Amino acid sequence: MVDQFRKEAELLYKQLPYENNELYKRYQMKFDLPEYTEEEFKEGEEWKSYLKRLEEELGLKFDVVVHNGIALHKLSEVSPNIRKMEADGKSELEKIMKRLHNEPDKFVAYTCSKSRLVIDIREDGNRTYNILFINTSKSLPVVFNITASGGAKLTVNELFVAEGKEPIVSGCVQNIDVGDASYAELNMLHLEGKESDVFTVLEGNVGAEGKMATNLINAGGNRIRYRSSIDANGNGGKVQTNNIIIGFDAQRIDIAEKTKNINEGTESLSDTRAIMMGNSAAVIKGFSKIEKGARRSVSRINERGVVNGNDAYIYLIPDMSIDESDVVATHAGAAAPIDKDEVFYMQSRGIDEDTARFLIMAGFLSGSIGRISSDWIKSLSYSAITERIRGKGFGIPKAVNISDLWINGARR
Amino acid sequence: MKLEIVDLHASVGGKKILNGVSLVINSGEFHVIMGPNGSGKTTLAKAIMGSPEVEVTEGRILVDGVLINDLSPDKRANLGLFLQFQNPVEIGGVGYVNFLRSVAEKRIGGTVSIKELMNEIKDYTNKLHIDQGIVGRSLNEGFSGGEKKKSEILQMAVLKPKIAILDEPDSGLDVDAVRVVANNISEISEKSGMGILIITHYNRILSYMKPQFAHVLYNGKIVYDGAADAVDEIEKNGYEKFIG
Repeated sequence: MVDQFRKEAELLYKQLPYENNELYKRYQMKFDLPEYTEEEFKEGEEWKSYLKRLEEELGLKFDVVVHNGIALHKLSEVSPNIRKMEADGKSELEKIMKRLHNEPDKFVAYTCSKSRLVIDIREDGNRTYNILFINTSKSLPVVFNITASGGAKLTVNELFVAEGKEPIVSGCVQNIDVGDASYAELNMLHLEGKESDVFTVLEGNVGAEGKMATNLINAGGNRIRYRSSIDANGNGGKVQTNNIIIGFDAQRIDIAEKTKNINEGTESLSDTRAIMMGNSAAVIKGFSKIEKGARRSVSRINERGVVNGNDAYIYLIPDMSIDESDVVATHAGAAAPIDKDEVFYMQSRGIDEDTARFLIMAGFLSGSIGRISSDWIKSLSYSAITERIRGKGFGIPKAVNISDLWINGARR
Repeated sequence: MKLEIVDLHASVGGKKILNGVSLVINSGEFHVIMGPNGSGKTTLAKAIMGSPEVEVTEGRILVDGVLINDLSPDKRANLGLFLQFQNPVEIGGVGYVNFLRSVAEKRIGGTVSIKELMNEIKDYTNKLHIDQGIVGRSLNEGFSGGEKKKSEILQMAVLKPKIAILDEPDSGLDVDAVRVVANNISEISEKSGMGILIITHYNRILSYMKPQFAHVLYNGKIVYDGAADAVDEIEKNGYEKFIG
């Protein structure tokens, strides 16, 4: 049965135009997933002390903990609106494939064929869920279905950590549906260890006058592969994606994000800021499509990179396809080393060169971090990013603090 | 503090700009340096501050008799030198107040009270007629031309250098702003006893100040060293008398 799903998924994968686009294919990071057997997955106990320390450090309780791909809490005790489902094999696979707008990834097939675990959140009120993903050994990818409806204001904060003795693939597939006049914010903070590969697939759909915001913060992991496809579907629907990337050591990062304006008055704003250090390399592909009939729509892609390492590399590919004339659409990509004039200016005030470079890089990302509404995700993101810039280790920072750099940047 | 520049030669991008400049400035003194466009005034200011853009090929820069040619700009700043930039760069995401606090703490090697710092900043924003809102913004980001100039003077007031080099603090300012900036520079320097080297093209700003010494720079060389009366001569008849 599993083999059958995989064959079907791989066949679909090969037929898809998006992943076969020559430009995209050229910069596609090869990412073969390991073959696991279900017997290899065990809950284990090591996550408990880790969780305790983390909750104390952050001063919060996680609503859901997923260890090695297995949800540990009784979800019904968290809220009646969140539940665990067993995916029913092929139909679930087809459903997700369909919802990914013909841009599925091999990983989706693997997810469904192996995990069969779907965490389903259906929220119609104001609610924040804090979810921790801990991987300490081989992990099952997790599928999330998130639905905000009936004017809901839903925030889902996700923290991904992975530390193990062997390489781990940290995977997650998320399907987000924001109904009419509803709001959902998804904050994904990745702090996996250097042995971990990170694989994320995100698909979203926004209804009339609804709004969906995603904040992706990558400050960990070895190889990162992120695929997202979000549609501003209903009239006046808004999508805002915010990607904050910090590449270090020999990291390889492959991000492809797609937004679509489908109906009138829709808005899609995509902003990516990346700092590449060491001999890390990133390819950021942002694609926006404005469909015929999406009059008075706005679409913007803004990709910016700072290269702070002789061997670091970033390639930005903002791209658009516009089938409607009455629209506002802009796309831009710019990457450069740190401006020497900025460093000199700071030095002329008495700041040493290393600190000046640090402040410039932290400042470059601070505006993007300031867009995150969750205080703990914002604080932890800032702490993690500043530690990476300073060349410190992986994982959760020893001290989580809110630097006031961006507070005084008046961006809160 | 005594700043000595002895027979300074410097290039920018391989092009020789300074051809043997010598100058002495002490704390408490007020110098003005003038010269036609392209004579090397800004290059001199940058060379003193240690800009990597400027290559010093010959000569010495000394602070209290100690050679600083090889010191990085931050070490020069921490000795008490300050450069007001003609066009300060915008640095997004770096909060104005936090930047000033970091710098002030670096200077004193201790903690600066944020309350006292804010009071001082508020005092000078009032005196310089700057919108208080700039303190909540990123460093120079989105500042108007006038705000940038005034913000530089505000930084000088807070950081209290021993010798400040002011590179065209009046350019691009309206007449009222020139007066405000000039009065504040005078007040700050008198209060703190700092030395000032002001680079300017016009005598309007100097009409509100009392420079003691004037220097004319031409083709990378000082061609006049003397009393400040030269400023009026330049205003009336240009540089001909000096560069003849």
